[in-house]
Amino acid sequence: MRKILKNKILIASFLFTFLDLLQGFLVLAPFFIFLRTFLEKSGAALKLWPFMSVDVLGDIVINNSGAIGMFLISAVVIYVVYIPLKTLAAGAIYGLIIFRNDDGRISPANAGDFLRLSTDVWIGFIKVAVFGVIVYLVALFLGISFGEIFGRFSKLLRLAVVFIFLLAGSTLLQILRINIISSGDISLRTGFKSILRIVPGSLVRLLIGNISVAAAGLAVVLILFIGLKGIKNMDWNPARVLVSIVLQQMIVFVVCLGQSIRINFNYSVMKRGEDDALGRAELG
Amino acid sequence: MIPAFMAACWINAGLIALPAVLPASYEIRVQLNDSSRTLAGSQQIRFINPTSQPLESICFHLYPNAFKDTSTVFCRENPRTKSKVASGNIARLDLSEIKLNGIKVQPDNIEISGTLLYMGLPAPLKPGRSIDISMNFELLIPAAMERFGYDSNGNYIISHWYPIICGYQKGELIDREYHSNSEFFSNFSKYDVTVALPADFKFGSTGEFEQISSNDSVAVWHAAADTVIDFAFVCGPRFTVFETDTLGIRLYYMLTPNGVPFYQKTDSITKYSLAYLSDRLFQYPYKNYIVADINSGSQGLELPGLVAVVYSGSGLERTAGILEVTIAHETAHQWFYGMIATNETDDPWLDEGFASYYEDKIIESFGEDIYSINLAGWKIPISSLERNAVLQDKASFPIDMPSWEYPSWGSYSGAVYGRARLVLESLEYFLGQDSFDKAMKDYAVAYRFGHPDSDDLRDVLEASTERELLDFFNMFVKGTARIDYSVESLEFREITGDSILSYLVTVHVKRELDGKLPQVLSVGLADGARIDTLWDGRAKFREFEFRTGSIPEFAALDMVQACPLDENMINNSLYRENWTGRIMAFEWDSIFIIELLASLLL
Repeated sequence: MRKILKNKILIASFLFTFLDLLQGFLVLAPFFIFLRTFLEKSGAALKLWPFMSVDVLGDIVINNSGAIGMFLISAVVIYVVYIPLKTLAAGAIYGLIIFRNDDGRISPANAGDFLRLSTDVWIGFIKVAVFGVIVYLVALFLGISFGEIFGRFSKLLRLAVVFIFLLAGSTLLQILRINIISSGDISLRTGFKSILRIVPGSLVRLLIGNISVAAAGLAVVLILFIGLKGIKNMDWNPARVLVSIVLQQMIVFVVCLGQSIRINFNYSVMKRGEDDALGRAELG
Repeated sequence: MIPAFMAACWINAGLIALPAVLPASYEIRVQLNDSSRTLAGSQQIRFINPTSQPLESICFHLYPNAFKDTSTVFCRENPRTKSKVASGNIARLDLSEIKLNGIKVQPDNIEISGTLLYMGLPAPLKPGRSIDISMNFELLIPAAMERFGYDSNGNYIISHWYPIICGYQKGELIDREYHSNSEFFSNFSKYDVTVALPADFKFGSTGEFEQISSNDSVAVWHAAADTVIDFAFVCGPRFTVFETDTLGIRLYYMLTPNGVPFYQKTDSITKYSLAYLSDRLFQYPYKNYIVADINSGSQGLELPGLVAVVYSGSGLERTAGILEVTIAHETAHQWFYGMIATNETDDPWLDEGFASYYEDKIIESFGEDIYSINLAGWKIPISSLERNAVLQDKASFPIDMPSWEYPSWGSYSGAVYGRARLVLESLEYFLGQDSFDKAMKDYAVAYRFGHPDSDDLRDVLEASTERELLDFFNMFVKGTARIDYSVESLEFREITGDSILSYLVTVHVKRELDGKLPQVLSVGLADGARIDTLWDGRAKFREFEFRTGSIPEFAALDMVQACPLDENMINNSLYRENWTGRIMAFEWDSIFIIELLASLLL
């Protein structure tokens, strides 16, 4: 157990899961307060399991459109406020994954170092988050476009193509973040320059590694999802609800674990690529 | 209007609606030119004055002329069609050699107004007297749009295509312009039609049909139809025709290569729909019924004895149950349009609303889990989505309004398809299932081959159920009343002084909106018993008191949620217990979705 708790990847995954849980709770909190006032004593609450019935959803939306609009706005405001805070913590979690104890530079396990690293890279991470919107939109566009071509052969192939493009976008953003952490330089331009220097020689390794981790994660998530579906197909009772919540959190944790493994892997590939690049320069 | 007691007597005596004499019989001879996309020929009509007044003119619909240029009423009201017409996809119906009783009609005696042609008679035509009319005509056929044309397979749907005599309803001429939202109305007639087609064309039509001659290039088909309100046909080189039987009806499925894989689905839902409606209303009386896979410009199109459904490229395989729903809907139109021939232009809810209602009933009882979207186990019935869309509109328009008075397609379809279905379902709730079913059957039988309007419907329903329905119709058919009832409070106290422990349960209920409909108030007790009380639903507030032997668990109005017009069912019930656990489970589900999305972006 102590060994597990010392595993940085696992700790990082727990921290990511906690950050995402907090995000979900904060964004939805105003809606939940509203929902309880409406449903707490209504028979409509019996139609929330396994999923909220469309009739209940419709009655809420149709009869409270003003309130729903207000909750959407409040959700966006909470999201906008929360994301910089999440980014602040994410920088340190990246550091926790990347840095080895024997580096001697920083120990994110130490609260002071954790905060120092967070604040050092914060602006850089926010830049990546904003840039990420463009990256994901482009990845989605390319994925759907190429998916149309491959979709002629099979629907699964269409989905796989979209998935690979999104994964490529995610990998690019992770590499940018890793570069910020490892170099301490928050400039995106510098990040791109070092990516162009390192990544071309490691492209195949990056591709295979990220797809392998994602595929393994997807397989575990699917198994957990089948379990969740099985629970949801049963009648409501508190024990089943508890199991379904645990399964849901396990799914999120597996996704976060996959992300942490990818961060670690991408960092090692980059480091190796950098060594190769330096070696080539020295030879040249 | 027929007084209710008289209607009841007439229904029982079978005196209503069977047309003694058909006002028109058509003899049509045409030839299709596939290369010029034209249909040319002639028609002879024997017309009998069906009114009680002498007629000084006869009016014809020239529906295809709604697409002759962009200045027509239809194009002005429908930008999509206007742009198609502007790009050269036009239709046109040209007439020549018009004769009355063999004498050529002078141009002075013909007046054309939009898609209507008025022909002055040399002498008033007395009631019950006949006149012979003949004419030649040529139809230019467009690429499929607005219910007719040829599709990308080179197949044709030929509907509303010849000069059709305008119908009469209760002695009044129904000479309505062809509007973007409006459909059709004409009286029951007899048809004898001969069509010459390219030899490789398959053919199917209203009535009974057969090929009577053929050579290398041309095949001649003959069709005869009696007591139908229109005549239409489909033809083309790319049909595979499947034939089968049900209930003594010959079924033809004319499917394109894209439609052939859907044969089994087509067959099962068609047979089920015909059986369901024959049982609930009256037996389908014609010998043939055709389902044709052809693009008519809309997902489905009803014609007498023939329905057109878009299979090709319509994404049927992707959209939940849309094929079954379309066939069920169009088959219901065989009754509510084809045989109970209401006025589609003035009372569109009487056909579209009823077809939507029966479509839903057919699909519900079909026995297969169709017509719902399944998102990873979250089954969303499309009928629920439709209800939400209708209620979102807050009853902007009454359902009984002339089609052209709705300002848009959305407001028209929302009222006459969607809200009308909810009104009929709420009427079913109001009258009770058995009583409603019997009343519908009485209405269908009473107006079989008739032309009823909303008042006729109400008269028959009142006679059949012995219930007063004027308020219901004024509120929900002619008016825009909305319904929402709520349980405001549930309280109880122990009654002291009795030898047996008992409680006084007090329930306060409220009518939130202007619509009034009786409600069943149910009070559930801790010992498992349930007290049901009928409330007339008229007062704004009402207090109910019950003396019970057990404490109450809940109070609920319309507990089974059978009245879909109730706009907020969340406030229909009040429980003593808090459902915090259930709500928390839902909250965790919601958090999970946000969490999962967020974790993918790390």
